[in-house]
Amino acid sequence: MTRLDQIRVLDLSRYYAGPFACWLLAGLRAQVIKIESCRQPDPLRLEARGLYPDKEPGQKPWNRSGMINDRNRNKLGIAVDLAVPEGKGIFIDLVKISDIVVENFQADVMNKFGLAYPVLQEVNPAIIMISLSSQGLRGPESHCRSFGANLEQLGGLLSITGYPDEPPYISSLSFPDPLAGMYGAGLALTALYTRRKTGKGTHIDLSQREATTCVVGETVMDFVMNGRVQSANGNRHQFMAPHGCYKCWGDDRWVTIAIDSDEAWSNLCKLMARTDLIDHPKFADSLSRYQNQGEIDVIIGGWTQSQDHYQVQNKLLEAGIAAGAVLDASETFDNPHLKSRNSFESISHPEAGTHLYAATPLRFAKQERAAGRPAPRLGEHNYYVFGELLKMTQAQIAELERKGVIGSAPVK
Amino acid sequence: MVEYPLQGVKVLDLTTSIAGPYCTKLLSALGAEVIKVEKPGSGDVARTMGPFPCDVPDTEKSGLFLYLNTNKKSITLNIESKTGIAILKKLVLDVDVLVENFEPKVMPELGLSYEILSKINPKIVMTSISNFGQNGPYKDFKASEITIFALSGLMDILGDSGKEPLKLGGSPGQYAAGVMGFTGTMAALLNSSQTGSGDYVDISILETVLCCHFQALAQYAYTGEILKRIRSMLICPCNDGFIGITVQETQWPRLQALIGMPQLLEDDRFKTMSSRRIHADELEAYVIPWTIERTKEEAYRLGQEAGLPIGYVATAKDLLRSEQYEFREYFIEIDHPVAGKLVYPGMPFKFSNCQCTQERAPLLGEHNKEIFCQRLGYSQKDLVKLTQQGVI
Repeated sequence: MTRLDQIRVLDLSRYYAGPFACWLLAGLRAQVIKIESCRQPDPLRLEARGLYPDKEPGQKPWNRSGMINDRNRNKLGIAVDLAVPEGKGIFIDLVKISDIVVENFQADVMNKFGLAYPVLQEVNPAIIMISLSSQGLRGPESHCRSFGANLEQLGGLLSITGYPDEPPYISSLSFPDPLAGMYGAGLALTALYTRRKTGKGTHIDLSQREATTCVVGETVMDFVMNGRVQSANGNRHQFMAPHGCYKCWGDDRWVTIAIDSDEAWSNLCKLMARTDLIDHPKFADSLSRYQNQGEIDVIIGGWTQSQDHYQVQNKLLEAGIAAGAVLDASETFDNPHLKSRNSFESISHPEAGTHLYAATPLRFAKQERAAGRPAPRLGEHNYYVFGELLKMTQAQIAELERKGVIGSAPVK
Repeated sequence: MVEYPLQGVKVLDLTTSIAGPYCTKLLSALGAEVIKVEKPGSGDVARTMGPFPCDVPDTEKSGLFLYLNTNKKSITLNIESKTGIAILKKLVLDVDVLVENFEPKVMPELGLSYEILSKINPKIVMTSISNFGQNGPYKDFKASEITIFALSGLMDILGDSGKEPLKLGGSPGQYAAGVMGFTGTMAALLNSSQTGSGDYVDISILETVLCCHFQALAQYAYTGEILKRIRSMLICPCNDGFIGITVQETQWPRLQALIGMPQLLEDDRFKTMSSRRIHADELEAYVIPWTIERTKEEAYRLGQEAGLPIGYVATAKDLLRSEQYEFREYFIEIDHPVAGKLVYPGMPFKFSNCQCTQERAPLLGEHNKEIFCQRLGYSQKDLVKLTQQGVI
């Protein structure tokens, strides 16, 4: 049976890409068990970058980290030391009763634990393992240390991001991480689909760097076809004009506009009370608009600069023009469209309080989303997982705690 | 013995441009049969988007189209005509999945809503990828990659604090929505294969980009602070490009050792990660003399050997020469009757016991005969009539 709510996922991953993949699976109602250890909890528990409720770390800061609580909603959590024989044994027992293992360690780590795919496959031939490494599990650069920001560079996304004629502008978005996570979740589901027929699992080896290159595929085609290396073009577009980001009234307020047709251009001119521009020889057709977009940008900027970014966006949208105000986080939460779509969920965490988070974008007419449950505290579900799922006695669990194999607080 | 993961799955693909086609490209690479339904005459708009070899536009040589539509079959069908819709419904009978990325009003107006299609074929999974989703006050508004990026809150934190914010280059939001569409389709397909009852998958490009927030949303929700655009990394020129260095606490001494400047360890300006960010320009001035004497790949290699998570700013040219990419056989060469032999980006993953398949993209309407005649039983003369009537 492969109904999603009967699927069990062991989430060994940390930071972003793996946890994001498992968050998507948890949102589909799979049972996801986040596996950490007290010696090495998910680093985001301890490197919270001050992201605590009201900036207060509190007595147990490792349970109050905003990024952990965001990325690990709807999961159960255990803390077990995989580096000792009893801990490894527990993991193996969990593999026997699970369907998917997700990990995003550096290339060789699962090997060093003695838990590489061949070992898991022996224990449970139906197990599906998803490895989300930076550059793949093997190869001359597979050992390189990476994270989202430098994968943007290494994958080719950064070479086309930035202000024209300036050095590349590094983002703090870590975009390759959620991107890899989306692939990971989709591929796990694919492997479940195949397993229905074959009864066998598989090992999927995904490279985050390559996943990034996939989304700039057309730049590869341009080099292959024409020997041309594309460069950053700011907020301009390859062929749409006017297209860019325009200053609005207030501190650091902007609106983006993309004109893709003569009709949109005509509507924009009417809104700006500049109908004289509609058929002006410099702007009347798409090619001349493209060639003269610098001039048009100045005119548009002159029009937007005295207006509220949201109001000008709404005027443009109502007039059938593609526009979007550059929203900051508080405005994003308040966006009427996102609110009406229930794109955010309010979740109460026992130690971090109640906050809003972005909900899963996987929506279905029939399949229900998982009820929003908070991210697990460190080791929160030890007793449930070891007692109920692995059928250990209270005495056995207490002994493991005493020995430090399992626990619920970080240790040095 | 299953050769491909999605062997036997049949997909009807009404998508155009980037997001929808990338979703169906993944399904086809994993072995599903994807029948791409294109507008007679001009086909998928991506055929006009290039790049083109030697900058000569050609419907069969658009780099974006060729890359996004590997492995698919192409039929031409005018789904705004009654006959076209009737033919489409015959095709719907026999498929597992239908994917579309029109504006939300289009499919219902054509009489092709999920309500209607699921009556024809109860097991069908229908996946719709749209800018804003299938409901809500923005659903019928126009959008573009940049406007969605702005509305997601991500654009606000990208770029220089003194200038306009930046979008990420290219169309990563649309590609991501394609991957999200693939994931949603697989979830519904898994259920439908068990229960015989399909589902409707509603993917919004805006919501996909929105959930890619790393920090900004959590920062506001937890602390009430709005994250500002900041420099998060040193960008240093090498003699052939740039490398990026981020220096966390444990790695700071390693950077000093690498560039041979131990005195910087004592410099108050650089003692913490946040102070290094504030004094980034000054720090770069010390590091640049080291990087400018090396190529970016050399600096990357030496930095990595020293335990620093350095990356270099790779271009398409660099990636095609990358030893790591060569080892992984990431790029593939595909021949095409009009575009010729070209090298394409491949799939970023490997299955241990299954293959992917990436054959060439189809010519416009290349499979009309196979699908309309062999599968649906139309005669060659019927095809002539249908062409003359503007249906195919």
